Amino acid sequence: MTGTSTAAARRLRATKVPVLTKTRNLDQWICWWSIPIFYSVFGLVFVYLTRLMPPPSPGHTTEQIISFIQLNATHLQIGIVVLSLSLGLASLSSGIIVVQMRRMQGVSPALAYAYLAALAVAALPGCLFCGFMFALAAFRPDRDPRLIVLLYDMGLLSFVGSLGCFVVQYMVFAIAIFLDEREIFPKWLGYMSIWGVVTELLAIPIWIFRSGPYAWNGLISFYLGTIIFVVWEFCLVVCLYKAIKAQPIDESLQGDDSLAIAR
Amino acid sequence: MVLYFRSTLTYVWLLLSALTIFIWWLGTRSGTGSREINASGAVVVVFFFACVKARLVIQKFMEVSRAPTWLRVTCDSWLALTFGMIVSFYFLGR
Amino acid sequence: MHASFPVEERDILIPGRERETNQQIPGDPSIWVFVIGEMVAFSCYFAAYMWDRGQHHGLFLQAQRDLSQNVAALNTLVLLASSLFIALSVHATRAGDFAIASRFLTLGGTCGAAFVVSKAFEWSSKLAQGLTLGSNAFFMHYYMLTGVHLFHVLLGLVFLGILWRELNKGSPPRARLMEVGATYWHMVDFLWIIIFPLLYLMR
Repeated sequence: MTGTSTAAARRLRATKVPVLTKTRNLDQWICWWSIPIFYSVFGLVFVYLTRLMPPPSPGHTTEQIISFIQLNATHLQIGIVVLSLSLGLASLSSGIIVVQMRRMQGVSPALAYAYLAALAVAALPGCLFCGFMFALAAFRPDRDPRLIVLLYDMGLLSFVGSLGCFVVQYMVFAIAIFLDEREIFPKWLGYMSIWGVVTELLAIPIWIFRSGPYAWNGLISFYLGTIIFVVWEFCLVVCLYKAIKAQPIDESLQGDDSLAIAR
Repeated sequence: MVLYFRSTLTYVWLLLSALTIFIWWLGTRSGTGSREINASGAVVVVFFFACVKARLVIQKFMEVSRAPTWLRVTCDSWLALTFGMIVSFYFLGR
Repeated sequence: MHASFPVEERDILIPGRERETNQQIPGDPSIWVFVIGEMVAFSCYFAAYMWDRGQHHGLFLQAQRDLSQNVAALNTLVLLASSLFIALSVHATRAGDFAIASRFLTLGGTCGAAFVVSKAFEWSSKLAQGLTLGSNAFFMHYYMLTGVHLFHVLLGLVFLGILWRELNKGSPPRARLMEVGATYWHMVDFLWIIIFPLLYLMR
């Protein structure tokens, strides 16, 4: 009786799961590659193309702001198109992290879903909105200067100041890592995620100051924050690589019933 | 429980507290006025002892004195650099 | 001394030969990644503060007189006491006296909580005087430095709570976890040791 049920289980498993992806965790590797690709595109758009990173100063006069927009107009428009098309890649990276978080032992799946939700909310203010505002500003060159300044402020304040969603993301990630008995990710990555929370705290003053280290282009609020983010992202990519590599091929996720039926 | 207080740590803590009171005393009586202790001199002394305090916490409370060399050197370097940065920026900014 | 749980080799000290017998990283390498990173980060905050102080020397001097040096000195003493208690808690854990370790932990946590309460009073009195984050460059740095430090203290209290649970859960606590928590708490302490003269005593 045990013999037939295992054979039946094997057949069921074979029909339920596509062999191609399951033999090499290919689905996860595709998602993993999306991360360096997305951030390369992000860097290309924000740093090189639109010159929004590092951001122009909040202390600029109206004339300086308008000339920045007009000089960069074409680039801003190309940038928003590229960004809109590629932003979907970011959701792949959330997906892969959720898969790994679901593998953790002793950790509620709620944390993985909270991570997913936090980044879904963060995508708009943390990335896309800035591009929208600047492309909008470039759309009609004869727009009222005061409106252009408004769009400029809206774009950059939301970009650097979208604090809360990222705080949640870093926090649930850190908690999950600390609680994880399987050590899918190393503990030091959890501690680095706490730095991520601190960078959001450091960005609080940008809503008040138009110059200095705590302005949206300030040494602390922007530069230190961005450096910490880049280092964290790099470490995350490396740790994800190791986690996927170490993952057994036919491992089932907690709560995943597709193999339980077969048992 | 009281027996645990008979340890090096308690003496370290007493020293730390004494140093705190000392630098508080020095700092509150320093300034640019004629009846105040010279501010520049006070800053150097205050921060020197603040770094001494921090080093005591790191070496004795955090047990870095028993740690591998690279960790001890890193912590001491940070203390030295921080002291140097604060004092030099202080004098550059006057 | 109870020998009811395995004492790690690292905890056996031969007096006079400590350096040789214990070349171990206290706690865990991962917490030191965090601590060293925070040391670097706080140096950046200190540097930004000192730079701005150099640019607006008169303003800073005047604004600093609004701060209470005495309360801050008291806060420093309170935090130092909390560190002592936490360190003694680790010693007691290593010796197997979990109940005593838990008591030391509670004492340490109480001192930490006192620091938070004191900071809350300090901030509210400044805010009542109309001195907010945006008032001037000095208060920008003041609120940011004390604020980020306060966040670390609050997080530290959460960690101490986790340590308390570890000591009171019934089964033998992990000495390594106690050390990690203690290392974090001492970091909070020595950072404040620098912040105190920087904001309150510098003239």
